[in-house]
Amino acid sequence: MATAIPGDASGRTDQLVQVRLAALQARYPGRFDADGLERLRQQLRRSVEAAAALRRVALSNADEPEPIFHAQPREE
Amino acid sequence: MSDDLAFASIRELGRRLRAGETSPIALAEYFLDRLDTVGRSLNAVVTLAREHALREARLAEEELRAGYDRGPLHGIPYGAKDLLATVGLPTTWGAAPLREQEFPYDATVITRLRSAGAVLVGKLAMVELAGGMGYQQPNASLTGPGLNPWNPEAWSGGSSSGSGSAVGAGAVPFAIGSETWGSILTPASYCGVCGLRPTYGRVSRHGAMALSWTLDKLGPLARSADDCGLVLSTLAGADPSDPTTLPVAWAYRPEQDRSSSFRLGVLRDGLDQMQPAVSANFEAALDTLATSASLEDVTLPDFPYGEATSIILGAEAAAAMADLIEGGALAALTAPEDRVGGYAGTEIPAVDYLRAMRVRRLAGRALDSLLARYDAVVCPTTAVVASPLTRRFDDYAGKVRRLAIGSAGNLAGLPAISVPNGFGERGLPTGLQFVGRAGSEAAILAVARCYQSRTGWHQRHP
Repeated sequence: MATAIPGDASGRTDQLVQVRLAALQARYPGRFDADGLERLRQQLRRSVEAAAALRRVALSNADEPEPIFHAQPREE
Repeated sequence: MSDDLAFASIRELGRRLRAGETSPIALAEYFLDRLDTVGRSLNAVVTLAREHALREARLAEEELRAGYDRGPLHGIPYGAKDLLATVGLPTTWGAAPLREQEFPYDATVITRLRSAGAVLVGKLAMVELAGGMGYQQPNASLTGPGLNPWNPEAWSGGSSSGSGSAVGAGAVPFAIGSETWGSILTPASYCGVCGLRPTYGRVSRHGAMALSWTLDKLGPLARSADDCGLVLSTLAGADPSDPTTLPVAWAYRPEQDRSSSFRLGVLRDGLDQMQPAVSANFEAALDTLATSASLEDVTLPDFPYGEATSIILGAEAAAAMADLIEGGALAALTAPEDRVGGYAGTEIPAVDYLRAMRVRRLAGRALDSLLARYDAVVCPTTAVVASPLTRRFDDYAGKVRRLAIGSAGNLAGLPAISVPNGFGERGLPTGLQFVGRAGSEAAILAVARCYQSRTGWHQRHP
């Protein structure tokens, strides 16, 4: 069955951005000044919104990704 | 040596070489000088490869004198975007923290061009890390903003900035660029030259900086569609070092292609939001094309092309540039926005990436169904001419900065060629693009040659 997941409410987007921002600050402490954090917030928002747009495309269980792996004989 | 050499086509340079009117060494010295003066004045040059070039030119001269002719590129100088590994020369990726970077091997495209007798005269400027960190304005390279040969107060386009401006300024006959999401077609359009983005996998990426393994393509920028075909013929082909290369061979055989009776889909999406000169030049181009093609309005299948491309690019770039991100080297990049740009990609969930790849598959099928009905879909390459150096891209171009066809074409790995079709504000060129289904380079080149046989825009120069 194909499913399209509804888009985010704006509040949820803000929450996701904040969570990801906090994760980055935890992983890279001291790397971002106020200006950098604001740029980062904008970039994170764009990727959260892009993901929400993708969830509006109906996909079924049978819809596979473009191949990123091929099993093949390998010469070592 | 006369200045008309600067803007001569590859075929014309080859004719002069074989007629004894010039020589590979003379051409190499001439274009080294052009790069050192005109090219540097446009911030188009990272490294002038003088010794390297003269060595290759001497060999070409000896071979041609001995009657050993390697083909149309033999003895022809060219420049390479500085993300292509070249033994003995720095390969900076346009990034200040990598200005000393060298590789002990050549990229496959460098090897193939050498085998064809072409002469590498310089490594050309580019936007740092091919723009993958999300630059928003022209000053985003260790060599400074790329300047436009038609108006040095305007940007050259990117990320193949030096490739576009050096060809446009007559500082090299052709150049190699790369495109992940617009980086060949945009500078080609802005600089008034031809740029060919091949089908994904047509040209080996071995030895090229990886920004996005599933989006990166290498291709030529040159004076004409015919020149692009000649160069692609040398670049194309399977390469064991790049498992994504297509197994089928490709050769440029223009004499076997149609020269009329083309079927073209006309894409008018966003035309009303484009600069007036871009729209007017597009309509004029359609009038020209109508003399040798049937035209039919089309619309793109409805998919979130830009969103899918941005998720895939963001995630793959964050992985490909992990060393620079983790090590903190991004902090030394030129553009402030690039110093944090890679981090956001590390937070893209795997399921979002995979969803983008699933949407990609559906979008690719839908696009192929559309494109199968035509030799090419035609539309403006960019909605605006090159932005002023002082403006942020979004502020200048607004919502039409990225056309859906650009996202769709790169997402689906489709070939496209941009050709000049007139001029717009501030004396800057506009471009027309032909997009074909995967593997249809011969068809889009034939359409582009047909257009150029009926117009003279590609023969204009600054």
